Amino acid sequence: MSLIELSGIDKVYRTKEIETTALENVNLTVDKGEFVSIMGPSGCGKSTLLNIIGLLDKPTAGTVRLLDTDCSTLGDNAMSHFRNANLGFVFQSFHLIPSLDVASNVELPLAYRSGMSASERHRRVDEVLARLGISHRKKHLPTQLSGGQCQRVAIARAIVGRPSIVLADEPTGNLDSKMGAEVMDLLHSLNTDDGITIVMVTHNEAQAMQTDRIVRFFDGRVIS
Amino acid sequence: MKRKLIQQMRSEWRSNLWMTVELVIVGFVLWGVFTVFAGIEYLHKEPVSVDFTDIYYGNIGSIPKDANNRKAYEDSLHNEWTDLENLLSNLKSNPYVENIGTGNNAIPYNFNYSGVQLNARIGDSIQHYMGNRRVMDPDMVRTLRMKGINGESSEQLAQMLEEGKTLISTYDRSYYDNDPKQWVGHEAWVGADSAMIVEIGAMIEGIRRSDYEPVFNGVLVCYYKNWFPYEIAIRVKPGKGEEFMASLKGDDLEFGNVYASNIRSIEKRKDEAHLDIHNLLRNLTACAAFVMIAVFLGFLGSFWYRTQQRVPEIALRKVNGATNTDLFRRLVSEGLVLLGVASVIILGTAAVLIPQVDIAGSIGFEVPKILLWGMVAVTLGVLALMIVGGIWLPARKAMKINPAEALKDQ
Amino acid sequence: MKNKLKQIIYDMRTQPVIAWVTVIGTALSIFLIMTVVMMQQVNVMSFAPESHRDRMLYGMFFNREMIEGENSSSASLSYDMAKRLYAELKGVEKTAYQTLGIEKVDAKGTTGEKFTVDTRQTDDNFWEVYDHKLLEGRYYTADEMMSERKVCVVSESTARRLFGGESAVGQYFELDHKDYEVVGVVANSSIFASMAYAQVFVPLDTDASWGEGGFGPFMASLLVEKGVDFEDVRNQVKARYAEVDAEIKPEGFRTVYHGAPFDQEIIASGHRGSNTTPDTSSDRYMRYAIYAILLIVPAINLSSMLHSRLRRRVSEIGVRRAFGCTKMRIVADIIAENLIVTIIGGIIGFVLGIIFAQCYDGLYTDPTGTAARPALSILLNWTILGIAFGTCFFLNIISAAVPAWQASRLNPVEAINAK
Repeated sequence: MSLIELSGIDKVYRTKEIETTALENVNLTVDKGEFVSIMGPSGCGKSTLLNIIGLLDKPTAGTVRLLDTDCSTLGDNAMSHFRNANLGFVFQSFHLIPSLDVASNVELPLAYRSGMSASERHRRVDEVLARLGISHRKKHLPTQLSGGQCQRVAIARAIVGRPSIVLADEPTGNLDSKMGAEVMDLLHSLNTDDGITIVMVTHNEAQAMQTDRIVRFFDGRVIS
Repeated sequence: MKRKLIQQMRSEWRSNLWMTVELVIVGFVLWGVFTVFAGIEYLHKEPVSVDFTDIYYGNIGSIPKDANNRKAYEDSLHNEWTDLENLLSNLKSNPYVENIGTGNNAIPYNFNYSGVQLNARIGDSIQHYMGNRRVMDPDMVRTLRMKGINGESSEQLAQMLEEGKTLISTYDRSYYDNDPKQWVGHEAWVGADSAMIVEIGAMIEGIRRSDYEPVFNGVLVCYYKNWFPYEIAIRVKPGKGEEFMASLKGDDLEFGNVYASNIRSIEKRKDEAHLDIHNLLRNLTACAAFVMIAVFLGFLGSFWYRTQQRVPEIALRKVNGATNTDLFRRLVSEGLVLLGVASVIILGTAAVLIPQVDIAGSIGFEVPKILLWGMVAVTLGVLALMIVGGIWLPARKAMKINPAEALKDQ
Repeated sequence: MKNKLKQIIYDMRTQPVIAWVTVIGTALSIFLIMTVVMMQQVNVMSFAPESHRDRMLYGMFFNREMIEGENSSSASLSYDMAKRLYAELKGVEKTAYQTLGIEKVDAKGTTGEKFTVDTRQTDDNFWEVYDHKLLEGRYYTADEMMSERKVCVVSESTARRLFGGESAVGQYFELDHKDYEVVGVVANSSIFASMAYAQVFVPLDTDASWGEGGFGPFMASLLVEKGVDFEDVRNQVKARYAEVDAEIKPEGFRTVYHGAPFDQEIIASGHRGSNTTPDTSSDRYMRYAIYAILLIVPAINLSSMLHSRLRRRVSEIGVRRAFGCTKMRIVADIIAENLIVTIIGGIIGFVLGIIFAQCYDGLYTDPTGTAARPALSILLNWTILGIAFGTCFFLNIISAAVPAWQASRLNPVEAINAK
């Protein structure tokens, strides 16, 4: 079963002076449990694609189907709820909230889920922190953590809501190779042990080679 | 340089717009407040015809006829008037007392208005004079050291009252079409009663009810020998007020059925009479201070934030040789450009309002137009001060930026 | 809530100037607004002994003029005229007659000290219309009033000053050179209760009048039944005026109706003219203008401070949106977070206002213009706390609405990548 189905996606950015085509007729399907990496030079539109899959951006043309739902027709609130329930995000520069400690950062997606008790939220947070081996950092602020630890917290945040899909935008881009490798191991174990579908944008050929499939992009088009 | 300043300000247009709106609102509030201050001060300086230094005053009363401690009079020669005479002469024997007068509605700083109209045939027409009637015995005129506008001494004025003449005051000429000076020496009848004829003895400067009230109406000073007074005014020897108060004994203040009470300095009464206006001034001051602080805080906060945002830019300028003065001047001129825009709006409104609004009609007295324009200038000056004050701290912060560190962080 | 507090503390640490400008600006604004509100409220809201100000109407003045000619006289009422105009109106629970204002007279008791007391003449209903607290003895009766007995009720502090520590009931003292017997002692009342306050209460002298024409020193206090429209009462009074009119017309006079009886708002406006129709609207507009300035000017500042604080948190807002936060939730969260800051500032401002009221003379005046410090028990009540909270909330909404709305409309993609 395909979890992600993009068909005929165009994305055009218009300003007064110029019109830039970011994506042109992109078709992509990702099956449940796949770990797909997207590669391509800077500015080829791979991040735009990830944002469209993540329902953060709307395509100019084409349809986005996630988990058998036609997301092109969803309203803003419905998209928010959909993201909350089904999607997790990992960013290159972590984007942890500096004022909140690790536990509160991880808890973030659960806070937007209605009908979950505080104790249930805490239980889930503890579970996920233990799973990623950062329980001892629970009360620390992001500034007190190393880059690798920050990314672990970010991954914990991405999976605490038990999404079907995790979207990772160059998750190792800001990390040294040792920490990068650790983060990759973590993503692989989420993929194999938890059955989470992962779409990752990366510049790192070696990391891409470890994934199930590589989608190569050039000038807004899928070339392989 | 100038063009870049404008460009940068345009990129923060929203914040700048709001700060301009704030400046305009605050400008109007301050203008209003300062105008009231200036108007009141202007009024305060108008001449008065009485001298209140060393004056004490009190009430005169008599024990009610049905009271159980009312003393009976021995014969028909003795009555409350003789009691009053004795009371006054006892008080006059006090070594600190210089003069004592009595009257009704005679002492200013009360808001009684006993309106009486005088009518006289002057030239071909019948003229009217409306005034607040103050009943004084001749000694009251001496005690208050009243003076005529043509240099008549209080002794001369007292003499006129003794002869049954009436004194009238100047008043705000904008309310009447005739010159009150021509009344002097004329006979006038009081109210509708053409049988009650008085002679106008002299002109005095207006006696205002309080220091902050214009002489919108005239004042009539008359002496009615058969009106039992309820007020007493005492002039003590210069600077001897406290000694006088300490020397007062209960017996001094009573004779027969007549007593004087509540003797105190006129300063207290003045303060009480001015309570309302002082409250108003205090409230306006609070309001002005509040909006000034608001402008100060607003510029402090906004420019602090801007400085924070522009750390790299400021560092670059420093690298390229900008001095601290340059940086300071740049931030301040940003604030002053906003004030400039606000000034255009404020001045424009002032130009429309000042010729049109009937100031005299709305506050009761005429204020020179130059005063109104002057207050616009003061307002803008104060705003400029607040702005520079608010930008001061952020500007110092900007000066302290170490270019090397700031650029490294980038 | 906990996270919002953490965010505020974080902002205070990382953006101290902006955070302090916010708190000080709010505190100052709430301080001044609450001071203006309290200055007005002490003359409007109910507190003992004026416990039913919302149901009170006051018949204070009478004005009559010559139908032809310029003679017009106006003053407070004689007892007969007061009864004529205000007795037994429909929808009125109880009517009391009393002197308008207080009279200062000399008093001397067993302690020998001679001092000035504030006296008021009242009838027996006065004790039911107003809510004085009887500490000792009893109130005087209608019989005592009609038979002109020299009895009185004194306030607690006056009793102490007259008789030292001794029980006051049954004792005699000299009031305005006449001997009076104390029959009751009541708790002190605030002079802000301008209709009910006095230090010595004596039975009303029903004959006291000023010449012909229905004038005298008196007024009527009407306790209106719950739910009765004041206008119904006024219409009945208008009809009574018409009756008087019919009677004095042959003498060449007519009455001038000035909207009597007055309600508490008119009293609070300091209306003192017996020959003018009160206009509370200019008073009200002036107050609204002051509120508007005290709210709008700081709101502009607070708004731009919040805007600055949020500009530093743009990427956070993007991340929150990515994890499923709706636009409305962003708006609600920002407003709620800002409300906490506003309330912190508001509490500081409110406390300052209360301290100021207790320490500074002359800020508060009763409707007759006398300055006094209102007791803490008058100022600290639910109405004033409610207004303080409401003002904070309103200030918060007008200052946070625009920045919050702008933040919610940020494009999540651009927001996340914003620096």
